[in-house]
Amino acid sequence: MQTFNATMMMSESGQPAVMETAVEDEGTILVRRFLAGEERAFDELVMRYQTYVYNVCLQMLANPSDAEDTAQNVFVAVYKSLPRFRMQSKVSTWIYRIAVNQCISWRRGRREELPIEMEISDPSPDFEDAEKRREISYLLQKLAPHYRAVLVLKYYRELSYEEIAEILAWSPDKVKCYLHRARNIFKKLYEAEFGGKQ
Amino acid sequence: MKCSRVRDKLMDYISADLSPAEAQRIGDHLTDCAECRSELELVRRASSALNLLGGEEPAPALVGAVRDKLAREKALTRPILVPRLAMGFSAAAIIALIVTGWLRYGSVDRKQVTAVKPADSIETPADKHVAPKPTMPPQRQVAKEDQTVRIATGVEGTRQTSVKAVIRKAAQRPVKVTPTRKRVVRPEAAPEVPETRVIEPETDSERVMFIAVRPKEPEIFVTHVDSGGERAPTQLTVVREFDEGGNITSVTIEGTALEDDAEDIAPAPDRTHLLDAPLEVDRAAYSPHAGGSTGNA
Repeated sequence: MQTFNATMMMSESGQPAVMETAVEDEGTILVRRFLAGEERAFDELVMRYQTYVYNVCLQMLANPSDAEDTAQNVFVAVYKSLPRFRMQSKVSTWIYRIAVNQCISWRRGRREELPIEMEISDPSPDFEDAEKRREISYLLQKLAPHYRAVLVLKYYRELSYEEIAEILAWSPDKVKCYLHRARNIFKKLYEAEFGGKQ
Repeated sequence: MKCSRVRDKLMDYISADLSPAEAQRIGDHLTDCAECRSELELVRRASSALNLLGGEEPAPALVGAVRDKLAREKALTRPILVPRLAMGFSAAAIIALIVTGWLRYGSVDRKQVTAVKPADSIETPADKHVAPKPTMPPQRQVAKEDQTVRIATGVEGTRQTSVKAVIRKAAQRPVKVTPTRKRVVRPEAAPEVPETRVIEPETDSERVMFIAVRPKEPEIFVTHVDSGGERAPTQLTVVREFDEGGNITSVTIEGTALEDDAEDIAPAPDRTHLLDAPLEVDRAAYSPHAGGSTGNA
């Protein structure tokens, strides 16, 4: 949810026009409240972003237990870093950046380990979709962390090149290049895994 | 358009991520090429599979667990040095220290990195029984054009630590550095003392080994560098304060995030072996009589 300042202006044709200027999204407001000393605002921040963060971690790590642990670490890092957050990017972007970095670091520490099977603790009612998601997440684990990250941010969060670039601290061109490569690698993996079926 | 090029672009084509002109060329090729059309079917399935990532799993309630972790970390944190100083130092303070050091030690090329010489004034228990050796001149290394500098000790027989020093813009902002563990080193195995070290964090909150010296008590600190989730190259600097007699009165490690122009941050080398390796040093270098150009007036 975003709040807006609406300013009535007259357009060139003489019709009133509403100029909307995004002021602060809810995340930013929560951060400001926390920095003003309202500790509870951090809890609200966690509740607001926990689903996104958890799911990014889940797609990156393919294990609910690891995803939960990493998501906790993400918010611990967020808590510690909040006093130095400079509000130069959106709160969500900043939190995703921390989440992606934590996941990449986590995977580096366990490079050799590939989950045998991704577990879904609470499968969606649509079991077939859940099953497919599990298979796709398993395939994603075979990609290098940065390729996986761009695919997750693009397809799970449906972010633009610019947003992904901000999260990964890359240029949009680099994101485009990585996304192109990641898709093609995924396609090959998919072909090798499923061939002509499905 | 060649088939190989078309196939390379099919995933982007299906995802509508190509320019209209390029999409048109690929569309035209697909009309004429049966093989690429069959490849397109596979690409379509792979792309649909990726779109399944949009589904969400319910997240567990994290607030309680996060609060527990924070409380545990808070209970464990025991700052050893002067964290407030380390946290609070601004770029201006660091520059002021550099200028002060410059004035104190004379005209030194900015690109020179002052060789790390153990403090003259440190007196270890062993020194009381060992006659001081002749003065050794400290080493100096001049930074190359690529600004890779070698930070070395002036102590014969010690390891040299080479780091890629990022002498870019002035330090941007302080980074929290909290010593989390220390190991007191035997006086007869006192460590080298790097003045400055640049780390490139792989994690948001990185443990690094750093060696510092306090009066009469050489110590290794494992510091905790919290880069605030941005992982900028971080410069760790030993700031030593002297009294009028040239004796060290305090040692502080400061962490400062540097401007990072690079797109990729190279993985930090594993330095844990340094912590476990036996430390050998010429004791005389720690004697009150060891001199050198960094000596105190």
